[in-house]
Amino acid sequence: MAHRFLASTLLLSRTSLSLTARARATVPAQYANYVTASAVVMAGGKAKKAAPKVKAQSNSFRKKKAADDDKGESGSGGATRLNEKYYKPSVPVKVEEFLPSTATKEHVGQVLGFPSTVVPALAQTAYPTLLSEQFELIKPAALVVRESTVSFLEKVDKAMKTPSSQSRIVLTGEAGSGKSALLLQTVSHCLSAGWIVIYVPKATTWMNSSFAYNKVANTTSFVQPLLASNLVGQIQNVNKSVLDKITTSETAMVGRHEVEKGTKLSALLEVGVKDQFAAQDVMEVFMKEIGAQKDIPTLVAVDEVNSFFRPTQYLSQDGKELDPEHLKLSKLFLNYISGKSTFKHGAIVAATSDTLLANKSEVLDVTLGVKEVSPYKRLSQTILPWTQGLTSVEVPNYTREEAKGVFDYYKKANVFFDAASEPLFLNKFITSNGNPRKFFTACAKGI
Amino acid sequence: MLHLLGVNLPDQKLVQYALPLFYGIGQKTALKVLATLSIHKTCKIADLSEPQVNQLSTLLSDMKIESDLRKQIRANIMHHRSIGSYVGRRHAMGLPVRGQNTRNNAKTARRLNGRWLKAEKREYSSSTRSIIPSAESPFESFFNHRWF
Repeated sequence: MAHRFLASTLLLSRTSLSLTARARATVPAQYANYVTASAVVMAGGKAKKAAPKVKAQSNSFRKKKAADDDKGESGSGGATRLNEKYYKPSVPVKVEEFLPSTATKEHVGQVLGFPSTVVPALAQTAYPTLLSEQFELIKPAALVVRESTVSFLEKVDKAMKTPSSQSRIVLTGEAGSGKSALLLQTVSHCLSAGWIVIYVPKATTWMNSSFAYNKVANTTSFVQPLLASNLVGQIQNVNKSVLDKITTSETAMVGRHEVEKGTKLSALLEVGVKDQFAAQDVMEVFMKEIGAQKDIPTLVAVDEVNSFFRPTQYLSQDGKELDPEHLKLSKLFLNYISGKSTFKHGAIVAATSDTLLANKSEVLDVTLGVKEVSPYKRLSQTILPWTQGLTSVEVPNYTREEAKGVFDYYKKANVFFDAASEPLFLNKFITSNGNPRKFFTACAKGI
Repeated sequence: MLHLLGVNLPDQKLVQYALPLFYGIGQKTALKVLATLSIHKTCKIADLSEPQVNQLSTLLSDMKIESDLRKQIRANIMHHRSIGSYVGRRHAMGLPVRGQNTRNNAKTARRLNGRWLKAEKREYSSSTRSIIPSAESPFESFFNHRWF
């Protein structure tokens, strides 16, 4: 129940809160690790030999029973007070670090945590929505090493020395099958390996009219100054150590500022952080510079990439919906995703998201072969060209070995309190069909 | 609280839902205004910058809203009344204008029709009152009292 309960607090709101707002919205210290399972509720109920349940209020005269006291405590008013009978603290589990050396076949089925060097970087960009809710419940943030992880990371490592236009991969699969998780593992892997990583956990927020936008004079394009500035700040914080090694190759004008040749890229990004109206130019110069050098490979990781391939919620001055290519920042990324621009060494990895049905992109699903539509159906001709040349990698459900590892981890983390037995495992595994998200809810909520 | 063209717009309201507070602007026109000024849909009144507020007020003053619109509607109905048409008579009686049945169900018409004419009558009566002495004159209490 904590899963649903905590989802209603400010910390886990599904709307796009700024990072500062999220940092401000702290949970009281004693409740920071709370988790519950309905198994606890059921166990507690049986142990007490049931004080009679409080029935719905009726108009008829009814004697109030004394034993109702222990039930009626928190009710609706106790938003900050968690009833200690129902909420037990979760146990932080000691896990090894997920490093390039540990992401191997021998470790398949083991749950490994993000390395201490990577966690502050990931905290800058925030985790994908539903995964972040799981990470709030079970600390520390850790993901299981899967066969698909190992094979995918091998692919990414091969892409280290090739242009990014040759490695444009989209992770597909059913809802809850682990696409965002695999993307997170790729990001962690590349950060540990010293790549430049540009991670966008929620691309939907770029397109859903939540940031201010201004028209660029004499063009049909629009800039989103604040969004660009936020992104520049995130990239700077995530890649602090790496960006000092690269300098600009020529003088450039960014907004009203002039950036001289030989400036460190971290200083270039600082300009974009301080002046949001220069941030778009800063991004363009930055992407060009990192693409032109061969020493450090670049990873562009975009989650919820389906929002790049459908009309946005922004309106043009005629009142028509804008396509992502009309927003300068999105177009910059679309150029790299579609292969029109390329990094000399790097890869583009994206993941689709089934979180909101309204955000699904039929064009992308059809091009990747995930969905079939009637050949008479006319797909958007403006969006279709951007999807050419993308390779699809399907993320399957858990294998038994992987699910077992996760099951043991959940037991250690107090996600469920029943004895960890083979029949219980089989129950959860079969009812959820190995789907990672359903497996988690099966274990956490006793469903 | 942004005060614009006679209407108070609360700061915490989204611009998209604050604009229909103007008489003559509904959901669709509000979205058109947002599109013309390139204001994103989740923008609140407090987030609008000075130049944007000025652009908004210029755009709104070019549109027919508030008192201008009310005058136009009143003038249209008064026209029917003055030429003695069927439509005018129905407005005056407070009955349905567009040929609806009155045997049953004319509740909305009885409640709403004719209110523009009553407003007109009130205006006429206020203009006759102007020849009666105002509060400053010495005989104001004599002339303004209803003796019969």
